[in-house]
Amino acid sequence: MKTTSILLGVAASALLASCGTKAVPVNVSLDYVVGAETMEMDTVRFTNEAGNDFSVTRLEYYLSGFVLTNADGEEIALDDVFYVSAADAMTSVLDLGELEQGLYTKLEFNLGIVPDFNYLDSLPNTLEHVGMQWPQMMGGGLHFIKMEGHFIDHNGDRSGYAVHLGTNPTLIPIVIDQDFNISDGDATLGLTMDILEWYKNPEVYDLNGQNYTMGDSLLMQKIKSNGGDVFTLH
Amino acid sequence: MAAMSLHYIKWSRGAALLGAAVLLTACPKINPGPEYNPTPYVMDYADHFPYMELNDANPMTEEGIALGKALYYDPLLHPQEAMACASCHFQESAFSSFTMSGASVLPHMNMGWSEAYLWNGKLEGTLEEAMIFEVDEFFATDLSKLQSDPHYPTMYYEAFGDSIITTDMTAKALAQFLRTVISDQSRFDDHVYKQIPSLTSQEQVGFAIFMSEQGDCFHCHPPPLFTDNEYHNNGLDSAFAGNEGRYDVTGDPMDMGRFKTPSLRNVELTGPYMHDGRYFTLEEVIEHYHHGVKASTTLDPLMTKENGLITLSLTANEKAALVAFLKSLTDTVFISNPDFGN
Repeated sequence: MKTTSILLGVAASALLASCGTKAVPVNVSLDYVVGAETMEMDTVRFTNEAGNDFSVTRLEYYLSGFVLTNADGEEIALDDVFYVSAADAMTSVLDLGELEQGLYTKLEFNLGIVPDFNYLDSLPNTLEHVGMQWPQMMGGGLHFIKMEGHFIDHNGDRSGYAVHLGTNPTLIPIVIDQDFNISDGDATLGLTMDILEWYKNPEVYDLNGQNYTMGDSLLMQKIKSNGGDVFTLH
Repeated sequence: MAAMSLHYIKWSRGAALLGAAVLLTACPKINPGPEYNPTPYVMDYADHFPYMELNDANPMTEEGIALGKALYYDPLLHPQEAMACASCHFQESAFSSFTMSGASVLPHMNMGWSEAYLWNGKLEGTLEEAMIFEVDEFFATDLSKLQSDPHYPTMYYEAFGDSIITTDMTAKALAQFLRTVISDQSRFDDHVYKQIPSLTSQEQVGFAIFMSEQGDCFHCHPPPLFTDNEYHNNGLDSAFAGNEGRYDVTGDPMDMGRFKTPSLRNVELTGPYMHDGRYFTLEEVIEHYHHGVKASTTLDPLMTKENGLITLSLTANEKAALVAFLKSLTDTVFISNPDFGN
């Protein structure tokens, strides 16, 4: 009887140990805020650090190069490239595949497409990818982000802005040094993008005179420098 | 009571059998042709075109496409036999037509990549759903006319395994045909995707302007389809009475003046231009984007360039180059392809 108990105990321990490394399907769920408010598309009712009242009419982007670091310091790198449109809920849940349960200490990824995949033919030939192409004569590849909308300019008139990034030098690495658990009951990582962060820290970005980033590497670098902390993990 | 019921059932069965026999005699077009065995059709389009989503509920077949093509050209779709689809959609005009009516006819071309139809996107969904509207509401087709035609019941049977003609089958056949109406063989395609030098130096200059921020055409008209299938206010008006566009469908004030982006393939053949056909030449269109854009609440953000300007900076030569490039999108194979013609 005692032997049986010991065996059962060993078996239970083994089971528990194996449960600790069991892989589960993991998703990333994306949502959007503007400071303390939930982002609503197409309405000029938000104000950025520079004092511009603005709206968002389009927000499309790519995430790629996910790396998760577990409690043992091991890095799990994923090859996936994800297209996201804030207007399309279907694209706001990213399937990271199956990952081992347990504690993780860091989440890294890029806003944009890592150089190895930054060409149109690397992705499935679908309408959304075709719509994100970055002209060959301007460096090729795909738009990393299209963020567009209206703002009230310094004359008090409603104007338009188009913040677009593309080409490898504007890839934005995101590093979130934060513990998080992946378990059977909690395998969805929530990522929230705060639109206000695009316009501050370190650069207070005034849309007046800087409404159109395309073809202007200086403006693109400003936006890139602000982009590292637009996401929070929860 | 039980006996009566049994009797009734027997009588009913007898009546049903008799009825079926009468039907078979009266309607000889049921199963009139050879065995129902449609030939699957494999979609054929350029490798550089995006993947086309097909409708599993309407598999493409040679017979379905042939039926759809026959219907497309047949005034029998109209109750008074006054017009067919092809009455307003001419192959030589890339299945559009020139009109002075104040409304521009969107070409029937590359529709398999779209999920919204008409300038304001009033019809949304599959091509089959759009064609149901065409049959039921636009034409208000009298199906009995098709049913009594000497050929159609057999064609429907061969395409769908049933010779009793329905709106659903009619729409499916039209949708199948329209999915095959693909334009992908312009000189631009040869030059850019097949590396066959086909564009003049002027056309190449025009393409460079088209794809750069100088012209900034590519954001709404990205190749290879040359449409983003979205809705934009491109600055035609600052007030929208009579030109509400997408607003007419959604009721959203921010959709005021937004219209579906037309493809620029075969644009040389599809004038007049804009939703209301206000421009008759490509030169007028270019001039609109150059210095004619009007500000409004819903003006697309992409129409505002550097420093808040809503103009482009193009020389006369650059404008001419843009027009030349646009004409390189004409697909002469498409407009003479007998697979699409009557």
